[in-house]
Amino acid sequence: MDDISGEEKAAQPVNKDETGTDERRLIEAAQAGDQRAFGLLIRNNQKRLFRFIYGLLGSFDATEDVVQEAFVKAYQALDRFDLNHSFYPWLATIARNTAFNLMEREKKKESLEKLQESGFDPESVELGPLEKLMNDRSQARFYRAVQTLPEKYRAVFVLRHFEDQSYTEIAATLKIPPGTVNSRLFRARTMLMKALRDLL
Amino acid sequence: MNHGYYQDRLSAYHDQSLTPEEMRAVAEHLERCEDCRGRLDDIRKLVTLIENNRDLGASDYWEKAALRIERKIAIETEEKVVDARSGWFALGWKITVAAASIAALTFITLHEGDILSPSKQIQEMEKPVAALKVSPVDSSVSHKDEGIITRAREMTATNVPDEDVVSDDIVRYSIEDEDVQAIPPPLPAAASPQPVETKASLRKDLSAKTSPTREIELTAEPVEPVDKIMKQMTGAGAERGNELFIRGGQVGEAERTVDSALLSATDTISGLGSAITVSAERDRIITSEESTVAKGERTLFQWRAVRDSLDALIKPKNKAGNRKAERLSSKASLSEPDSSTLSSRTRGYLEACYQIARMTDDDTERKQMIEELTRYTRTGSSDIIKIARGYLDKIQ
Repeated sequence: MDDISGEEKAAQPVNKDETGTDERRLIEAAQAGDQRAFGLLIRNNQKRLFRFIYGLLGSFDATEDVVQEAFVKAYQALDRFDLNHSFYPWLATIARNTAFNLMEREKKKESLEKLQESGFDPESVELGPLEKLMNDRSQARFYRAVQTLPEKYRAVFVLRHFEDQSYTEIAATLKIPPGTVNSRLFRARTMLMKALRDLL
Repeated sequence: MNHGYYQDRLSAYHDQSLTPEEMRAVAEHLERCEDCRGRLDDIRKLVTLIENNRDLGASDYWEKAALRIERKIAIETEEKVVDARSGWFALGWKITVAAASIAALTFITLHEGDILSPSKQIQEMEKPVAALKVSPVDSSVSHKDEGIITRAREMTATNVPDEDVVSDDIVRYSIEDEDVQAIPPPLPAAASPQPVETKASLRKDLSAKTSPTREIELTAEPVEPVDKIMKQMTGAGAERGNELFIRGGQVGEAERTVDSALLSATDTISGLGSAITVSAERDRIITSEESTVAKGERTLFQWRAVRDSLDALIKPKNKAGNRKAERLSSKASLSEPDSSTLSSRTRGYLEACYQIARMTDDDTERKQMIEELTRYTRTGSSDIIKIARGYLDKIQ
């Protein structure tokens, strides 16, 4: 898969999922053609992946499409997966590149930028189907506020807080200097603090 | 350093992402700046808020989403396999057909007088067929039609000498194959689907896209009798007849030959009543009724994909199904299905339900499939009711 960057190459410990199943064994089984094993990999990773991609795109439907496509690509490229690495970072890289490509194509239709022009109002954001996945009203407010962040700030914020990436990793992912990561994250946090002041 | 310099670095300071010198400088500033301490405290609270709210809630959405992904994988994987095959088929056949065309034109030039003589042509048509192996499904082919097939085979042998260029998959569809007969379906013969009409309509569709080359047809067999043969043959047998006809008769029509190769390719991946998407370089063709070859290879994933695809095609009132059907039909070059096509799709759908009920470990899914089969025992044609009952009997 050409669009998988090399950053996921950094060796990471092999995960165990929520049920304690050894991820490596699942991947090996899936590589051997066990579709049920890949089904478990889907179930173990889809929620986190969805959160990440939704954070980037801010669209439920587009996120569903990207997540689906990422799993399909991962399945088709599974033979080339290095078992010494964790599955999620590899999968997330596939999904992220798919999402970035989509964002590039859709740039002219970017509605969130227009939203910014009309003012920073998290309450005006419609979460749509995502509303069903909210635990409570506070969480819905949080996701609305994240969605109203300008795209360039939101990307840094999501990589830092949803994907737990370091500043260096974010800089490499977005191809921006580490100093820019710092300033964008600072601005994103400042905007969110204003929007969610009463929840702090 | 001024106050703003430190303010800008508080966020990175919280994350310990400053250089050691910067970390020390900010720490010293914090000791004497209450405002910055307050801002740093806000950052800490915000990070806690984020960590408490970032995880999406539990919902049955996730299981449904996972199932959709699995189905998409089943569909996409199948498409990809066919994509690769059709590409090579197309290339192989283009090379073969180009060579065959040159040979045919040379043949026409050298034997123009013989070819255009009606009496000679009739004599050729009535040659005996002793060398031809006819499979059981071809038993209705008339003596005269067999002569045409024999003649076509001879033409193929004459005009396409470099068969090694063609992939093994295509060579396997020669009329001399021992496995021409279709693999029997799981139902009694009386209830087994007969996909002839769909094949015929698909072939008709392909024919419509192909411009006739009458001059070259004179060297081969007339179209009409071969179409007649095709109507008398079923399933894989028809496919092979079509293959033979095109290779032997339409040696100059590269497009049609490529499409024929494409049709043959579907045999290897299709299942009974399954919705198969086949891509070619030029067109994407969908047929929902294919031969029974290789259906035994289907996994639970694939049966689910088959069920969903056919569900979308036979139940257009379903909104999601509509989207699916639209997606599929956007790739298709087939016209609206007729009643027999719909009936075949329903049969395929019922088999998918049966196979899923048989294979799944999920009791709920099994129950749903049984309910679906039961529903069809109360509605539809007697043929469909009989099939649904047959499957229910097998399950229970």
